Amino acid sequence: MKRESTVKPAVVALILSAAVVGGVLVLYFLKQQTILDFLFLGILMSGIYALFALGLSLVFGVMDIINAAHGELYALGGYFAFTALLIAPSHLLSVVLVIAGTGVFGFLMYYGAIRPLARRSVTENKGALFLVLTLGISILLKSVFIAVLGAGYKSISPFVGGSLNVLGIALPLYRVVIFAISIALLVLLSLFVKFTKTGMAIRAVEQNAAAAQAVGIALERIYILVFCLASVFAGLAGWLLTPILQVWPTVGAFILLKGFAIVILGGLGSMYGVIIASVILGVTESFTVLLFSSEWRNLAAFVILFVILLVKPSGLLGRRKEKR
Amino acid sequence: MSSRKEGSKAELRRRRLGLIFLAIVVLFAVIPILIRVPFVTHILVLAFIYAIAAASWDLLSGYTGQLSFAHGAFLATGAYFCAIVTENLGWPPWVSILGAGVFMMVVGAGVGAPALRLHGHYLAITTLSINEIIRLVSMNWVSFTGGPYGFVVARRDFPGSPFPSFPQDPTLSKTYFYYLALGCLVVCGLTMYFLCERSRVGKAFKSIREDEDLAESLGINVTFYKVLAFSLSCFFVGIAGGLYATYIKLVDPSIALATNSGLIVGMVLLGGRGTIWGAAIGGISLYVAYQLLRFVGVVYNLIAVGAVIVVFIILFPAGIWGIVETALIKAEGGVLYKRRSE
Repeated sequence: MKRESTVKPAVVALILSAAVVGGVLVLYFLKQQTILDFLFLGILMSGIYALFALGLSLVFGVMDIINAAHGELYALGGYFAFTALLIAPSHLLSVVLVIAGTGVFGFLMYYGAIRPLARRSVTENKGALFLVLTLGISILLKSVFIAVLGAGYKSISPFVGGSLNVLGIALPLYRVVIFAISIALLVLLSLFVKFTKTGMAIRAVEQNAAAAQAVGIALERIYILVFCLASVFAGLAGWLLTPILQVWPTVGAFILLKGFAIVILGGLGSMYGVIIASVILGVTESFTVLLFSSEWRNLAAFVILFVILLVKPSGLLGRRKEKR
Repeated sequence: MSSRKEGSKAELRRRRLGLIFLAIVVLFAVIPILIRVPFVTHILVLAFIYAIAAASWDLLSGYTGQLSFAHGAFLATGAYFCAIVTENLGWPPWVSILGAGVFMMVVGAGVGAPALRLHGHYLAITTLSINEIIRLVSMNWVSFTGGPYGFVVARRDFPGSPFPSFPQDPTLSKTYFYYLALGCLVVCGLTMYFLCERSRVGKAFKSIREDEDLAESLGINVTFYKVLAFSLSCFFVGIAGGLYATYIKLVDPSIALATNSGLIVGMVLLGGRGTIWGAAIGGISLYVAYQLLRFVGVVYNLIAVGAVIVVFIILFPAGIWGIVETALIKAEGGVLYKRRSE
């Protein structure tokens, strides 16, 4: 954490200046109003991205696991909301089902798959095994989605409609609301991690699991908490984004690669990095649509991912982890 | 005293395994004569092709420890290369299959280069995205790859080719390809086996898997061997892709799906990592199971792949090969040395 704070101002200044230079260049070529439109839309999108990627980052930071099934947890959120709205047209009920469903699913996944593997006395690098394991779970879930709900696209209606005027720009109200919800959740999480005793324990485990255990922190409880929290966040992201993006069985791979791009850009395991990287990805995607066309927007994530991996694999705010 | 005894025992076991291997090859060789069902032949041809791909994944990830989640896409790239040079440039099938291997070897070295910088998680994420990029390119570059409808190999005549051309009669061609694929599997498998188990290269691969830093400190050129592992693995998966394209005559982006890479990973986990032959056996059995489950329902084969990965990695990380090996050693009353993956 200390190293992060020493790196942060310089990096933030760098990003901001790059953004300003880029913005001025783009403004030069296009009309100002469109730019602002797309800038806002990009920023609004980044809230959900951050919500999704934070779980990925948290699970990596605390448990040293890259959860390749995180995208399926997102899809699960969307599907739970879809099913709940089929049963009863109440958005409150659907959000309760999403939270409970993805939370319970995360719990089951931890106890059914992650913990048995963690408990095996394997001498080799476990990170790789966990990645293969979660990949297997991801394939399993994908095909279960197809088997149960069919391969088609499913959509749910947004809980608010209409638009909001900000600085003379008409923004879709739903996007503003989900951005606000995401930010609220992120703030709540960071407060929780910063100030509560459990949050301190999470940070301790993140820094050094063995030492944390030595001072009496029950690792198992922290792991289960973090994993369920990450699952619920992914599920909520799925619930919030489904009215815009729809949900389909392989949506997980689609969103997971964006999550990877964000997490790598921000630095594996860094919370602030995730938020900054989400804004960068959201705005980049949005401007890609403006400058080229909407087909290329999904390529933005890959380009970011590759440049970062080749230039600075530890990301913007990443701490240097051990090789293994 | 005991070391000589152990040595002779190991020699005995090796001979026995060699005999079992021969028996299995002979068994597969007589299958198309005994069972004259084109469907069985067809499934087994594809199973052999996937077995080559699985063994090549094993060389890279099982022996060297460099996790690749892009082998489905590499298979597709090899297939596309083979299809395109056959159709557009008129290369004879033999040349284009080998060409696909060599082309993928170069691609593998190119992918191996970032692996010099990336470790573990980062490498895995990179290969996952490479898989997605290859799929997107094959899907969207319509003029070159045929887009979502796939690339069809329709050319039948290769004038001036010194090689005999492939039979056109469907049933005859299936039998022909059956032996071609089986032969390729045996040759590729033996090459990989000798590289990994009986040569210095294999020792270097294993040492990188066990401890990269230690290997480097012992004077092993880690960078060189990693790139070598990547390009060798890609060479063999390219051969598999070339066989696929020549046999099926249609290459479409669905081969490059991430689930196809998952299928290859599942095959190796089923058979046993770091064993080459185990991976090949896992490849054949999982592919056959994968196709048979289509009779139950279209998605159940994928569910089975996911379930195999999850169950085997948690309960039997050494795969079928490991289970059989343990049983054999125990039956001989030998000492069960701890395998790395157990």
